[in-house]
Amino acid sequence: MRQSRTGQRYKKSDYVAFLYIAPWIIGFLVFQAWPLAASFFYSFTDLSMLKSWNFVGLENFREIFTHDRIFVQSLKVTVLYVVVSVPLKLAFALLIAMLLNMKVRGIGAFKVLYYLPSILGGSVGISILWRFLFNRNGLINLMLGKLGISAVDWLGSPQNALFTISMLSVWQFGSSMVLFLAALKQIPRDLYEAAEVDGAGRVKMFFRITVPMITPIILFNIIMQMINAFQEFAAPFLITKGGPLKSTYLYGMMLYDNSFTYLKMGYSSALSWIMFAIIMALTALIFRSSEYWAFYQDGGN
Amino acid sequence: MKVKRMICSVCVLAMLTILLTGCQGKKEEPITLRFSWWGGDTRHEATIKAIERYMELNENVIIEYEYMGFDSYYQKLLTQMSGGTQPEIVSVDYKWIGDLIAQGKPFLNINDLSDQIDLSSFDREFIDNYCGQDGYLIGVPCGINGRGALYNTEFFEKYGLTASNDWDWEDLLAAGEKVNGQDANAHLLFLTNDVLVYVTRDLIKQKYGENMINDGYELICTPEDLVECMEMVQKLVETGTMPPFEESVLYETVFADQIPNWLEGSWGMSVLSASNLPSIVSASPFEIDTMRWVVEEGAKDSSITIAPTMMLAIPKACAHPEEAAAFINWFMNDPEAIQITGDTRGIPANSKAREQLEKDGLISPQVSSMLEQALADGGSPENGPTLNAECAAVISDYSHKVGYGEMEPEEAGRKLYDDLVYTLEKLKKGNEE
Amino acid sequence: MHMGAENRERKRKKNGQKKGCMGRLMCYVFLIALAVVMVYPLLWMIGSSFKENNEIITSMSILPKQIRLSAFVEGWKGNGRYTYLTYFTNTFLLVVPTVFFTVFSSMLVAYGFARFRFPLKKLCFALVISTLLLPEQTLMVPRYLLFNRLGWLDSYKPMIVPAIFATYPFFIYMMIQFIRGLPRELDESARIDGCGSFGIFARIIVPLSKPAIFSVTLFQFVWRWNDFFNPLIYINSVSKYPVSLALRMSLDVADTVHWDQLMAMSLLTMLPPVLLYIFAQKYFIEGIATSGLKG
Repeated sequence: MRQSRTGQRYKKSDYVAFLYIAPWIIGFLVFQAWPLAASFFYSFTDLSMLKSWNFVGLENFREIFTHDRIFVQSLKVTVLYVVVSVPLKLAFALLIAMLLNMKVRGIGAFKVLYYLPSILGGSVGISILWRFLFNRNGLINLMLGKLGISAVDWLGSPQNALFTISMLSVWQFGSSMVLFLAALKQIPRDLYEAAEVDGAGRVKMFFRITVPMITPIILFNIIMQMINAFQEFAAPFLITKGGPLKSTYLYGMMLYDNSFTYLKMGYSSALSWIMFAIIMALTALIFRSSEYWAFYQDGGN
Repeated sequence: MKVKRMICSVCVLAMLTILLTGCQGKKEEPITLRFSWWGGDTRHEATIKAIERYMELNENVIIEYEYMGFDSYYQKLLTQMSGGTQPEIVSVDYKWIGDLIAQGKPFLNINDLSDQIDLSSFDREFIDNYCGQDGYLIGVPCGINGRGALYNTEFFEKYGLTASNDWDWEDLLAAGEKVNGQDANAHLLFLTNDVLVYVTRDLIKQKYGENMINDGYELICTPEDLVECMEMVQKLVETGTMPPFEESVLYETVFADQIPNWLEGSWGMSVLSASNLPSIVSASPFEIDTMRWVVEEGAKDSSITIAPTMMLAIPKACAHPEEAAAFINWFMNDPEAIQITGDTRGIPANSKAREQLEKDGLISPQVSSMLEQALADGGSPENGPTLNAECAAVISDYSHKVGYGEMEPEEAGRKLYDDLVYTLEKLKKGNEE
Repeated sequence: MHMGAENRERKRKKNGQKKGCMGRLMCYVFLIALAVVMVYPLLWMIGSSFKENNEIITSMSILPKQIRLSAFVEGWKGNGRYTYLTYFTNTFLLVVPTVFFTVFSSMLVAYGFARFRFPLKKLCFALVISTLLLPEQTLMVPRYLLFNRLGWLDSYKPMIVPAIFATYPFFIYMMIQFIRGLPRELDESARIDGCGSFGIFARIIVPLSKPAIFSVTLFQFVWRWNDFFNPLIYINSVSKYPVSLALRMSLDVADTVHWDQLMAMSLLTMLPPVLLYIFAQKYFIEGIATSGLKG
């Protein structure tokens, strides 16, 4: 497969490939590359849907960084949301995956059950359910009441609301768990046997064997979950409307509001590019801090 | 080789044709109009009934309808207008008039349609003052609305309160304390986010007799005034007059009929526009009465809002303006339509309609009493800048911070002042461009 | 409680079986308890849709005092002219073409990547992968304006057309991984039999890729079915609402607090994905596992 690198000419028949990937090329240019570039351009304008637009230079960014309190608040809660929900979800997923990896009987049934919330997670129905479960008069408080604990304002208090929303994300640990499980299955048994002979304890084996062996998948999970978390929209929009006190006003909601409530398309493009930059920077950072390169291992031949 | 290539090209072409043919729409004979509004079930049902009747009478017209809660309506309308997918007949709230005029008057001037829509039995002064600006009439008002307080009579009896139309803020706080003192779970007053913002607007207007923000986008009050407003919010919470924000915040965008605490009788009073009463009256398992909202003693202006209920407007981009106008005319003036819709959009602004409904006893007593109380003590018209959505959001933010006890009124009032001034400057700049 | 457990197990078997049994038991108890906690809300939701409004607020029990179907009947009516029948039909009209085109286009593109050498291939592949990282919300405004200019708003085109052009990198990636795993010898023998590249695609690759096609179909179906954000932006007319928007409208408009109806309708809208999942869970779980791992 190294021919291309050694400079062998492409045959005529090779160019047929372009017909196959043509849909992607068009789709990429029209629905991905162009919008990305356009949104970069818009971020330097005061584009609003009902008026003509002007080029405003860095004004949007100046406004965002110097005056927009809501941007600061939203970024703060979004980072908090990512930092709380992603590690919690992944830690949980890994723990359960390891339990299931012991040849447990009925493992299939457990997998099916644990994965179920991931199927439903994004739906409006679940958001409605969540809103009801954690309502002041909801099921959770009802249960706490039976235990003699007084009602907690899961959604009404600014301290709790973000946590309650994060729980919805953690509840959907299924897909990460399945990925971990598949990765764990591929670790050769003899590694552990050898370690055991050397007298290594469980903790040591976990950090010396398990973690290094599944690093690519940890990496993949962290990055994908982080990107998803940054874009979370439906849950806060439907459950808390971003409140109370903007404590669940996640970045996705702010973008939506700026684009479609205030119709500040230029401004929201600037905001969206800031998010894009943050995600890129974090992804680069995560890659840099890890020696593994999960995706390109076989060079894309 | 050629064959292969052909197959592939056919593939791509096939996809393209699917794409292109998908773009062509069909043409139909009858004219289709879309009509959108917001509200609760009572309003939806009555309006749909009226629409169906209209379609029976006019077989060449099909009216499709879209309705939703008030919460998401304006946002949806703006999106629709920017995308050119707005309905032919839309509902507009008086709060948006300033915004919409600033955005280029996207609706037909109803004054230009006077040969199609009969406005003869509408109060001309009311229309000119409240439904447009300088001869531009944005829409036809369905009704006259007044802001007032509604209360649960059993609740007032239980806690020994007497309703009256001359409560001032001190009376309100005293009553609230009295209720909360007897039962820590009972609270006198709960407010939607909209009305919470009015606490500040009202206090300023009552003090100065002017709208909080003048037509030149300038704040007419001092930072100290705003500190006082924030102190009022704090007092409302600390005296237990209002429930803790932690409990009430989930309901701050819905009316009493959706709030369990109201339906169970543990919260006893709220503030709203008369047109929203019918749904609440029918949902509540107890007697409801109304009273005038609180006004400071010696106020220069009562700040009691008088306003049109939703106005029906025709977007400039409308493809069938004549049919749309004909429907609006029927909806507003035809005795049958008036009969069907009743008081679901407040008390009609059309005097003939009002007489007809009064004669038939179709106006609920609560709606008429709230409107009467408001009209008896009405404030001067509100202006666009005071109602601006961004300013409202700033006021709401700080009111919440104080309500949650996260910020002291002193700090909140001053920051609120600075933020409002900054927001107004930006708005002013935007309008000049 | 991890990888090494098995080995320890063997040792334990020599030392004494009781300890192993205890550990295993604990493990089971934990797994079952967790499953209960996770699924309880869903079961409670099912129960609630048969309960009276008042019973929902006051009872933790899953089982309703009596089975009443009125929440379903009343909820199904929606809020006026359009019943949930319209919303369900709309959802299918939106989701089915989207899924179909996604599968078709992803398959085609993946075949191009997996079986051909061509100039700039590395770059193209890197682009596919990097679009995985591209947040949709950065593209939201220009896409909206583009569709607006094309006159596609308030139709399903903004969701269907991108699917025709393979804009779901996740599925392309999934397919590429799968096709790479198929032995090339089959291609060669087909070529000797006189098949062209499309012939190989149609006769060899597609039939062999059934499991991957299945996975893509299922995932895309569930995701599109649940999607709330895109319809929220692009669909305006109630007559075109998919179930996700209809539910939100019910939540918004519901005059009195009809939690029972809301629960019943939420349940119904969640049913198609759940049924699909129950019948095809193998493909979901394997699909996830293979896509993320191999490569």
